Amino acid sequence: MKKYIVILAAALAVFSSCSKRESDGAIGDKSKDNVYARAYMMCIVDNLATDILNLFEDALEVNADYHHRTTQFDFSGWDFCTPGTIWTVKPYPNPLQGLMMECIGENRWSAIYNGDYVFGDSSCFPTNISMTLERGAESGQKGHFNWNITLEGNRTEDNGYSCLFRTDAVVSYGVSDRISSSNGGWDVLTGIYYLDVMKDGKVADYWKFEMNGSSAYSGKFSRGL
Amino acid sequence: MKRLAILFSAVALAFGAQGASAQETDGPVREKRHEFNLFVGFFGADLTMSAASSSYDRPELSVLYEPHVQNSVTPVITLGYNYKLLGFLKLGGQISYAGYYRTTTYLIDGRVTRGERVDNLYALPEVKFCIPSAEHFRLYAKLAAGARFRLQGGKEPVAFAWDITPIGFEWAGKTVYGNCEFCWGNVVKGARLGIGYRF
Repeated sequence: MKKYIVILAAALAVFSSCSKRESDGAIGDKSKDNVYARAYMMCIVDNLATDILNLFEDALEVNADYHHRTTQFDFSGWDFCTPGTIWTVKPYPNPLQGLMMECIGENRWSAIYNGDYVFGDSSCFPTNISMTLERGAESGQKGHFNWNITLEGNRTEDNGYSCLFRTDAVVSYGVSDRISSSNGGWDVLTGIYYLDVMKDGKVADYWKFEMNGSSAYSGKFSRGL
Repeated sequence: MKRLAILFSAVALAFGAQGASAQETDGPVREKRHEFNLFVGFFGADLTMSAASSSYDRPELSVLYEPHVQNSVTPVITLGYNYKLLGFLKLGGQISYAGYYRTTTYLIDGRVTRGERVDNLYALPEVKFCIPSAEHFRLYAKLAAGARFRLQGGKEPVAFAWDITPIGFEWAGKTVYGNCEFCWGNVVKGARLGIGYRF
């Protein structure tokens, strides 16, 4: 009997030590600092901007097409490039329904959106954005342009969290030769995004994301008040 | 973990085998009324401490800034007693001890707070239903409900605790035997292995 008790005690001792090792293994990987915040910036701010840019390129593409204009947009004037003309995104199929796009000058537009914005499988939260856009040269792909934008907006999330995001100066969305497909996105990004994290109405953190001409995911991210 | 489960199983089997051999030499044993069991439970559960998922599964600020709490897996030691009330029905209780290491992670900066020790003691009256089966192999089920007491760390000094064993096995002798039971609740999630003694 005694030897079984000894074996049992040994088994418990080994098991306890293994449990401790599992506890140590659960420690977070510090090398991932800011990876999540960077991902948030990309998911919310950059994707919101590129979604709007895509809508503008869609609008320009169908500018002369009466049928498409009436199915995708409500419009106050025929020519999307005439100052004062306002086009509004219809509900289906775009999630940015109600986005108001106004021509404010030659190759210049403004965009205003107040509504819920969802990225992928994320939760849907109220998001407001005001954006100005200046169309640059057409890229190697027909109908795909370089853009200079400014934006500011805010997003209200759960548990008292919200954020204010903005550009201080122009952010450029450029297209390189690497992108071959039509409307393949923008991969030469230059400029700085700022984001203030608010908790219960007070600023809790401050983010800065500097894009230096390569893709957005390789920009320099920093944070801290 | 697997090695330990095998090791403990071997111990439990050894006890059972010893009980069986003892019974064979002692001849028929009359029905016992009292039984004590010592269990080791795997995958201790403490549902009140699992605040959030530890993965970045959605782009939300609360996921970045709110703490993610994880508990290490620790063994749950359980001492049980049952009294045979009727042929198939036993009443008793179990006292369990589980120690947890709680690790808190903040995704926003990788900050980790670890090592907070939380000690729980569970006291649960239980009902055990025995199903007649082979002489050296018995089936049973258990229902237990009671309280969880924090001995150290954590919040909620006292909370409701429950434990359901939909199926358990006893093998070998009537005096000394081995146990294996599958259970679910907020004491243990998974399985318990143990040894028992009847008198």
